[in-house]
Amino acid sequence: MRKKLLAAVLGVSMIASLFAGCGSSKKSTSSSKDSSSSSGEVDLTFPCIWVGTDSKAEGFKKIVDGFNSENEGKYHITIKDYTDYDAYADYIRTSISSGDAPDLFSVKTKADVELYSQSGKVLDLTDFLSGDDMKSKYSNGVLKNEQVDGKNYALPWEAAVIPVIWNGSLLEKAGITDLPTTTDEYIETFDKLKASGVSTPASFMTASNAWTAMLWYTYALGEKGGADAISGKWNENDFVDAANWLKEVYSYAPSDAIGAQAKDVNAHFFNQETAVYTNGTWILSNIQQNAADGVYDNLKFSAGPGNTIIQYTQAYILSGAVKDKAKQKAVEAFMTYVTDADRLTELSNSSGSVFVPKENTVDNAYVSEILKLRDSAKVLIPSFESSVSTTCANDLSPQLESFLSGSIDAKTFVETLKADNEE
Amino acid sequence: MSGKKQFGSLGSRILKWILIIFFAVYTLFPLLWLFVTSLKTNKEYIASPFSWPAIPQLVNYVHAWNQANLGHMIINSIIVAFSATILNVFIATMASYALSRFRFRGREIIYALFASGIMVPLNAMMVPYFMTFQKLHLLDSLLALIILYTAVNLPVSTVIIRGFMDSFPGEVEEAAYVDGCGFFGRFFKIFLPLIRTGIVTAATFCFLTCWNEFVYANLLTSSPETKTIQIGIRYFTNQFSTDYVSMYAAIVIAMVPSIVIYMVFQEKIIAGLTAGAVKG
Repeated sequence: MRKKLLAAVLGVSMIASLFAGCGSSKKSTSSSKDSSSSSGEVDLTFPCIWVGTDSKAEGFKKIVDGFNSENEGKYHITIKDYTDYDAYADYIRTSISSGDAPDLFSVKTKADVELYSQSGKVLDLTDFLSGDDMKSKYSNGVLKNEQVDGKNYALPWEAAVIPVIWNGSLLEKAGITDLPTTTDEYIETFDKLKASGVSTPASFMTASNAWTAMLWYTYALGEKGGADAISGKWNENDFVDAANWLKEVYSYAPSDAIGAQAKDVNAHFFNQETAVYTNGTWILSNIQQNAADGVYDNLKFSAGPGNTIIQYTQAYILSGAVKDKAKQKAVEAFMTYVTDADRLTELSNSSGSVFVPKENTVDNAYVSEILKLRDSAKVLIPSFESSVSTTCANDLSPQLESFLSGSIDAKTFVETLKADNEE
Repeated sequence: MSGKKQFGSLGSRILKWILIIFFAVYTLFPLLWLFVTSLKTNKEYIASPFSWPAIPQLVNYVHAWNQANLGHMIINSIIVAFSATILNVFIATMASYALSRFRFRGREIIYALFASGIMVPLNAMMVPYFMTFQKLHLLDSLLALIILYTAVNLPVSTVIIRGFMDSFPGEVEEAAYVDGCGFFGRFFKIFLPLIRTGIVTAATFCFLTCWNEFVYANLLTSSPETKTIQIGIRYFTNQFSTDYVSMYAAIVIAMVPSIVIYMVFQEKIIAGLTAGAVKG
């Protein structure tokens, strides 16, 4: 009986696989270079990460549906879902290397924009972005700052605006009314929180991209060296001082800080085991949904040491439609549509994300407060990760773990990262 | 004396059971934890990863099934895994037969080339594989995955199956030859039944690899119609946050077919893994 059942299953699957094979020639995929369907509509394929459970998924789908509906018979965007970011980056890298760049895709760092622009397989958007309509959507200098060798290859879209986030209830319990403004005051505040019973006040992680630690390091560098501290010529003394401060912050972190992932850092802050945390506006909905009762309602925000706010472009939209003029027109139409202030404001309100093109005033009170902090910050600095080479960004986590565990000193830590960045 | 013997026997039995219980807990605890966590809310999971759920959230399974379209993905995975496994074992068996039973120049070099494939990191081959399937116009099709999985599993399958074939004396084949059995007869009627255990072992490894593979499934497929279960599991993770409980529910669902396969074939798999262990 078992054998018969097995034989039946195998037989059915083999037959089904033949049908699957027959279906392989269906249109789709970015490999197709035909720009028009039989109806004359220009089809663009967009492998996209703003899908699934992403906070922007619903709002972004609304934008794409709106574009498709308004341009019916003329242009059509087909979204391909990619939820795992690392796998998405692999897919983009591989498809571009294979000479088959998608019509539309996104990357998260300027280093990626530089890398792909050098391949000659992404569309030069300089003329399009220098037009009055698009230029007016950006603050002065933004588009110029995003150029690679004097050309714009990417549409700067989503922005990261990262403040320091505090648990207001724990601050109140510790009798803290004024939030710290310098690296020294931060340490004093951690001491007060510790004395009030919060034994590990500082959120900290070193695994993956060492996100939280990397942000603390960026703030300290912002205080010491200003906006160009990382993107300009490195002042080694500042970097060493910032590294030593980072080690002090680590001494106030939970015992699992070395090797901790984002989920661990979130869990500590959400469960009030830590009192201070640093992350972008996108985390607010996560705190609201998953933190202990009262945490979200009592959040406080401040700039980092030296009145520093971390801000940079964290999503660029690029196009691989380098040869097809019809597709290029469709790409420009979509980029115009997706940078409309009203649409971006709606997306901000539904997701907590903020954008590089100008928006209207957002509804979310916390996001508004963070944007005000940004507007009054003394130093606006891009994150360490987004400012350095890919090699340096990848090496931060292991070097940081070696430094914090005492295997190397601050000077060696900085020199190693500097060498990585100069590769 | 007899008391000592009894005590020794009792002691060894206690030790045996302690070891059995230890390994049972060691093996089953992660699965149990996964199942329990899949019934919690994200808030409960973050607050206390090892607690019981206040109210079992069966809705997580409904979310996992509906939102990620797991049903369709499981069917795709079954088609891909079964087809690739059958093709793989079919080819590996024929290759092993030639490498095991025939003497020809370069035989060991060919075998070494097969075996060296085990050492090649698959992720390093993404660009050439992608380009190959692009040229064949097979991107975004299940056939691409079937062909790829069949090929990348050949080294392991060939090594396993050839090992089984080598263990049979040449006299078996000679006797069949004397009895008038031709080439195909010897292969299909003599060898395949004899190495059934080896084939099932190789097939199991191949099936599990196909079932669990993510990188190429993500690279070579893009439309919802062609995605497999491992992509479905990752539906609940994104750039900045993860819906852990729905993801764990999806993992539990994804584990069911591979557990069923293992249960059906477990005797053959264990026999295959332990074959030759008691030979002098």
